[in-house]
Amino acid sequence: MSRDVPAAVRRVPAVTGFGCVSPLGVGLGATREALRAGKDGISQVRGFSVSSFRAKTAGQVAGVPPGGRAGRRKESRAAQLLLPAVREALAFRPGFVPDIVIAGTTSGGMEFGENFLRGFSGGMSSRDARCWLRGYVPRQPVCGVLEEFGFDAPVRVVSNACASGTNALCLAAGLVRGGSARRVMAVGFDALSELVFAGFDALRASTAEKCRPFDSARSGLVLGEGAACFLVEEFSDAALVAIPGWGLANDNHHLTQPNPDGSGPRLSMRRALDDAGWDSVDYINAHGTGTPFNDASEAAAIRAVCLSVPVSSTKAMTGHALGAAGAIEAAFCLLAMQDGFLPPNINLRETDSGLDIVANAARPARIRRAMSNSFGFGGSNATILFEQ
Amino acid sequence: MRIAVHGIGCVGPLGGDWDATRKSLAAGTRPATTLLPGPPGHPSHPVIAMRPPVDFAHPRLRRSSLISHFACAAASEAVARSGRSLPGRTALVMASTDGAVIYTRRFFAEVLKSGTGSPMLFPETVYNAAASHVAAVLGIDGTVLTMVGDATAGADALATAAELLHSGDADRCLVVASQEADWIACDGYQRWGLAGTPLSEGAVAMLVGIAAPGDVAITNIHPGRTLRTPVAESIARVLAEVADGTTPDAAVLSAPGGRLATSERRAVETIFPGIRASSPKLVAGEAFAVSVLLQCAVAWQGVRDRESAATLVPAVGSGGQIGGALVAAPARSA
Repeated sequence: MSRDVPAAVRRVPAVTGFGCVSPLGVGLGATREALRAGKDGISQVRGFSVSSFRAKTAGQVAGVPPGGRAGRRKESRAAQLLLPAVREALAFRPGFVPDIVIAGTTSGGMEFGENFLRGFSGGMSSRDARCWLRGYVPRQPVCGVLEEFGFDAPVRVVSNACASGTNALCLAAGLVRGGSARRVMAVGFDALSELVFAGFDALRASTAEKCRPFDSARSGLVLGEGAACFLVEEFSDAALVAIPGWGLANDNHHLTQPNPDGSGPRLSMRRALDDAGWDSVDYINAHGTGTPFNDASEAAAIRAVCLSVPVSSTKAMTGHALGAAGAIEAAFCLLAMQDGFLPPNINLRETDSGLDIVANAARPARIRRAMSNSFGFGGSNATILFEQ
Repeated sequence: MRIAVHGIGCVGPLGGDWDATRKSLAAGTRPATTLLPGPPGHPSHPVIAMRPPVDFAHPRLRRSSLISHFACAAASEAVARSGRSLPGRTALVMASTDGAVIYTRRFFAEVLKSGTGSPMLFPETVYNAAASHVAAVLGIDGTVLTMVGDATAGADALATAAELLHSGDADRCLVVASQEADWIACDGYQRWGLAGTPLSEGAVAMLVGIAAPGDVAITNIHPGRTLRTPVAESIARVLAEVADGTTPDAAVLSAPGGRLATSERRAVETIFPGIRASSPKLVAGEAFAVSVLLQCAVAWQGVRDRESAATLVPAVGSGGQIGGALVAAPARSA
């Protein structure tokens, strides 16, 4: 890390490697095909009982390899999701050693936290308690995975609810652009958690139906899980895409509901475009949770900022992976840019959004400039741009 | 990267504001502990709690956990003490160790008992709830981030603030850490064998900007490193990088308890023999990320009051990371 870099020095950050694990598949190959095909990755919840909840389904990752030391130890599912994503990203840049790791997560090691909290009703040994506490710390899944590769880089965890993954990528890009670091690893991860599932169910934000982002009859979100990893360095021949700009904004309207006028998302999108010096983009991967409030607010913002752009939410395929969502959807943007298609917004019947939604089937398209939105509880709004 | 402190706010068992806290620290008397009862069959744990707790009057906080009240009170004081209004491009970087743990515990207990939890509790369990309330109370609509971790999350927040300022992404940055004392956190702290001091609660806030040449500055904020064995050597390496050729005459230690605290003290005394070392935690108690910001505030005040020319602030976390910063008078930091 360097110090006292003049503010005027602004390098262009770029992604030089990435990996993705989501309900659409483990690894970029499987993900690419499923994304293009519009695969529905939602299934009945397997990890815990949902008998008392309205919602019964989630996007769950199948076939996570229990590889490496992280797999042999009593590691969290979050670490197991993260490990293949990190390994895949590092394969792009052999010899990459991060100066720092920025991790975005909402739940962290909540699976272990739940065990710890459950333990007080009986049957918790001291050994279990220490193990669960250690795993509860949000940094722990990341540290466990980094140990697998022999990295001892510092780990910063940003937890900005459902914008966390995009925030991590923005912070990583900021470190490179400001000259504070040369090689940054950004990750977003979250495993499906009973506590969080219960929370969204209690709020009636989740649906027992299909998740239908931007549909006129949308009834709520479906939760998901996954992880994605990005290697961020200064733009060079090794760059896959540049990160020319990003924008963050806080909507102070309400803790859980966006301002209906879309002012928060509008501000983050406008700031991102201004940061890059752009007027518009070729594609927007929307936050698009499928809740009535979020989609109305985001659609209003998109209409105000760049009306005629094709838009899709991929959450109908994956579910909402919370702190991992922004990272996973950034990976989807990169795949779409590389392969020349617009990912579909499945389960759409009729839209009231006033947007050009990529309905139900992928469209071939050359995407040179893409935008990805992530919004979260607390009024967190984050928008990041990619350029090929 | 050098940042100046424009205002400090602090609430906790030592006092309801920064002046009262400083007086209590100078007096050196640790407040009495109270016992938090645990679930049936589990021991009670001592804490240094704020009694009565801060009740920050704002409609936004009517259902929020204590952590948000503490954060809003400290943040508001920091802004008021700066004597200036917040510029449009003000960032807020919050540091937290376990969020609104009281609500998390209550919500999950409800789920386990009845199969569902209160929709009033759940939103407050997200780590960034307190930051959201601070932003709403102060009208911050720009970058708002919550860094989560052990005590070093406080150092992460300072480092992130410095980076936002120096990259031009913010003109001012409000750095806040907040912690509420709950039995669960106490129990975890005890089980980790770190209980050198009782757990505490409260919040510290610092309004910071880029340092001008004449400012007392927080400088050389270390990005952090994972602790390796031997621990004292690992800590010493990072602190030598923080000092970066300066010989500090004082250190405000993080004193995390147990063997880590011993290693920290040994590391500091080895690389800077004769240094004057103290720790506010011995009086104020352990409040993780809050404690690191309190260390920085104490160090900044000491340098500003000419009690020290350069003060080392180590940040040793129980989760296996170490960071730190140096607070330096203008002549020494130029």
